[in-house]
Amino acid sequence: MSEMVAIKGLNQKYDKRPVLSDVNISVMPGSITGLLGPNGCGKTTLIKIIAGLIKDYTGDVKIMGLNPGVETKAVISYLPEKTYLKDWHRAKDAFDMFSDFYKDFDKAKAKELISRLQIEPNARIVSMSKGMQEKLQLALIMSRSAKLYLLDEPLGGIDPATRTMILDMILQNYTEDASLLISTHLIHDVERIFDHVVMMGFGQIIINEPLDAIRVKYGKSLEDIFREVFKC
Amino acid sequence: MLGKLIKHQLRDTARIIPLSLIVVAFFIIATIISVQAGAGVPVILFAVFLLFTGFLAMYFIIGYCVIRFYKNVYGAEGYLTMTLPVAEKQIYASWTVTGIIWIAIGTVFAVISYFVGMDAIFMFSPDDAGNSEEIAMIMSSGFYIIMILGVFIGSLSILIELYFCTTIAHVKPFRKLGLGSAVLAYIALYGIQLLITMPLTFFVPLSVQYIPGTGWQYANISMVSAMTDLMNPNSFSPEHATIGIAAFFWYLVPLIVLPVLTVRMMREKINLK
Repeated sequence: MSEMVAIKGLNQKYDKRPVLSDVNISVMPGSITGLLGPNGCGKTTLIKIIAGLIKDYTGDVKIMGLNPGVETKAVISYLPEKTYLKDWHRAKDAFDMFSDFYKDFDKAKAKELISRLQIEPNARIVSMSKGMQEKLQLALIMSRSAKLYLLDEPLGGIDPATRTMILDMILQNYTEDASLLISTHLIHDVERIFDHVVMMGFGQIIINEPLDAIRVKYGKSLEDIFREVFKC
Repeated sequence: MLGKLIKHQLRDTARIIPLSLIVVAFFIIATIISVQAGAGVPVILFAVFLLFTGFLAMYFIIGYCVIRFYKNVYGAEGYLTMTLPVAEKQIYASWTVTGIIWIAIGTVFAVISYFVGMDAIFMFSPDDAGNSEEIAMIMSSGFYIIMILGVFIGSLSILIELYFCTTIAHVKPFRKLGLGSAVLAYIALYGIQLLITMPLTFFVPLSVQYIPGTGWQYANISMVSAMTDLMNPNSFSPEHATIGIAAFFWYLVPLIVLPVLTVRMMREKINLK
């Protein structure tokens, strides 16, 4: 089976500080990969490179065999850490925008998801809380039938009570043959959904194995391993 | 996809820009009504406000387009814009076309403001009672074409330069300075433009000349020669006004070069923070 994402020898620097050093990762179709690591370890940079937002890296990055570009953007559904919707937009304006640019966007599904999340379709983005804006963005990107979902800290601004519901929403709505790459440091909440784990620290890959193999190898939960690796 | 991008950018800018045009339209109507009513002081007052707002509206249009370009491409919204399945050149083109549409509308308003305002001022200025006919003659003799072209190309040049400077401020060596690098880039660009356009305007023998009673015509004379000629008491030339137009052609150069450089930076050099 050919890889959904194949990264070889990836390096990226901010000023002179290396953020990613010789990173090698593969993401297989139909898999859910957890990208774990402490703040500033390069998770977001890696996701932004795959999404096509960072261009001056060195190394080889392929998505379905293609360099990041217009073709790959059409098959990637990307949830950034930031809220990117226009202040004056309403949820329905955002639906129009997604319908215009993404052939795989399902407007009916988006309407159903925001209704489940209790988001008013006529409310302006500016009047929504940060958490509501993040939920709306998640509903938008999960309403696409993409090949690759890139979720950068999808639970970051979500209250603990809603996290389970959001995770279920992600699992129920992504296309079966698609891949999910989820970056998070809220390991306890998401551990159950991962097939594969990439643990990053100081710009390098520390662990890159299937979750079951990690559990057998270390005899601990993922969160315990994380605490041990990044102990201050 | 370009059409869809333009649709969204126009919808975006249409929320605010028409407000500035409504203000100009108000002063145009107020000036015309006060001229017809023969009111002295209000005419001058409205006309001055009209000239001021007509001029300001164009800068507002340019400024607002640049702010929206910055936020939409390099701000938080860029996380959506730059991950849409469209090429960077299409994103740039959509903002340029949006700017061109608003500048074209703004030019119409600015030119109308200028002529209505100047006409009203001359009509009610006791020292220049005859100048209203003079303005009417200038308009009928084609000066408005030069003015429309000048305002439109000049405004478009500023827009393109500001898109370029906003973009260069996000390229690695300049990113640390933030907005300061965009300002510095604009000052540098403005200085270079000035160094090139001033000699072109004054010394290249490519002008249009207005001769009272004859109208506007092309002249194979530089502005400096024309001015020297006017100041010479022994000259037999009739009274005339001369405008050097060689710089107009220079303005076309950055209009082609800067978009190419901007798109190249967007495609290869820009990382969203």
